Amino acid sequence: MIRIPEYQTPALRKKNLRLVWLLIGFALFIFFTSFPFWTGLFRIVGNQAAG
Amino acid sequence: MSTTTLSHDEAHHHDAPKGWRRWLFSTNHKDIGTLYLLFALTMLFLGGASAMLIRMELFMPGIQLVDPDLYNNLVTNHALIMIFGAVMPAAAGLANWMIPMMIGAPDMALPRMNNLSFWILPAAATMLILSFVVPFFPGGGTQINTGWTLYPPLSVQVGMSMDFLIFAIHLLGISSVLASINIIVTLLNMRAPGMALMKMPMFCWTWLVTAFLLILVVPVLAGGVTMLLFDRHFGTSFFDAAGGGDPVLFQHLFWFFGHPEVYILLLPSIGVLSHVIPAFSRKPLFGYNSMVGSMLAVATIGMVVWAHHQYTIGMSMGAVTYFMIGTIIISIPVGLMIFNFIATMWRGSMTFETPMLFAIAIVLMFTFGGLSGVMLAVVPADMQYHDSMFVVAHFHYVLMPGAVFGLFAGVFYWLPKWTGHMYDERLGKIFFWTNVIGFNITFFPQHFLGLAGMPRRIIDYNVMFTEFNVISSVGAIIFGLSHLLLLYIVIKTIRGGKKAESRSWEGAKGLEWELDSPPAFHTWTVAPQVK
Repeated sequence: MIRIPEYQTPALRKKNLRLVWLLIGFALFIFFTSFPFWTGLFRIVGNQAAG
Repeated sequence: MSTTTLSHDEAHHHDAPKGWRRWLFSTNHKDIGTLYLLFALTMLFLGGASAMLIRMELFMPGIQLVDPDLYNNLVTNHALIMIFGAVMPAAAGLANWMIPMMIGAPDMALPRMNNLSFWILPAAATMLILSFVVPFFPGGGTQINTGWTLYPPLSVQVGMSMDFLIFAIHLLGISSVLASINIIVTLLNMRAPGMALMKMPMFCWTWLVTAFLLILVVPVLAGGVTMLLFDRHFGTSFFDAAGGGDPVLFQHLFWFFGHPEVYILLLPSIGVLSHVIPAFSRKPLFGYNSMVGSMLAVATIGMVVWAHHQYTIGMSMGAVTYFMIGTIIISIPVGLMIFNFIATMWRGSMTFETPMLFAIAIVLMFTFGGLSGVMLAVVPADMQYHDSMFVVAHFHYVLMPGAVFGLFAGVFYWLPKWTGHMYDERLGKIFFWTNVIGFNITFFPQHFLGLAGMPRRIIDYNVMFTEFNVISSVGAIIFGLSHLLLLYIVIKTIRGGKKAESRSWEGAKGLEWELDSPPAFHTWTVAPQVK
């Protein structure tokens, strides 16, 4: 892989990785919220909290 | 379109690595782009072979070549291979090749992840092909006779080949999401100085929107098939009414992915058109801002109209009315895009090289597919058309011109840049005409078949449908064989031909045309300044 100082700065690397993790997190959030048992679980917890 | 002050430092060239390591360990966006395109071409022929078998079977009424379950598996495989194996990787190939060169970046933001995104694909394709092959072996279970929609309860009852398919979809999804993340990070963080978002080439804009759509919807499909896997093997009842589940839930999850997927396939081709039409009309793109706005509108509205694929499941009147109106509203931004393309051509100094011919074919034929889409969006009409050959004709008129012809236009437009050689224009035009005529002979009669009541995904049909089916199958032979000419043209261009200039087309604009043809292994090692 070519090393180009202009594009190998720690600041750009950090900026890139921050966005990567944000997008991975977003994709995982969408993945897990597509499972309906979460809504069921929240409803059960909500009902119990309400007594 | 932006203008540039070049400060490109050619002295930074490295030679490409030699041998198989160059491809297996590649982190170079151009090499990975080439890998994607070769993979897509291979899968195009594989998916095409299954389509040929389907059409040969439907040549005459009765059962000729394959049994009904195998026929349905061919339908399933044709769709999955073409969508996930051919069109999406081809669009990713164009993105890999062109995005860094267009925005003045030396490579994608995450080159190693780029390598991973590609090399997941052959593994996924192997699983996908195994899902087709496994039922032929003793103990391999039944064929996947569900179609690409994989609706339960049928998909829960299918044999182990369905598990191969589910894992293939997982792998394909991971590959798509990783590639999308890479594209988003590249476009947001790696643009040349001075290239604001609203100066970005339209192909990059279309890919930015496509990548966000992929991240939004692919995990939902992954969730859906994961639940399917759990229902099949771990005793859950997500989609089993007897256990308190609901099979219609899967349909909602599938189409929440499936409908935006249409725009995922379509938008990169719209991006290609936004370069091809101005280049061969010798005019700037009409309405850059409105193109971006339309694209965002299409993506946003396209996310919330999925249930127009499921009108017949028995939704409430309010729900079907909402989905019908939402679907019809999408035709406004899509129409605006088409209007912009026509306005770009208006009074331009047009010439009709192969990419432009494909572009004009798209404008005409995709509009036709869009109009039959409006017919299908109308609830009472859809009750009649649903699951008929009319639907098959409609989505092939949307996806072949809208997605595949756009990719062909892109390949012919950028082939001189990639290879350093001009392709044979005469052969290019022969390919265009055989391809377009073959396509129309194949799919136009299917509108009549559908309106007359021929159902889709059924191996046999009433003798009254014979004539149009014969015409359709003859067209399919012309259409299918025409792709061999594409293969020949590509190989011929790679091997030699007239030397391409840096700016291969007179009207071409953009940073990529400032680079040599073919470009050096590493380009834009010093960022260009965009004014």
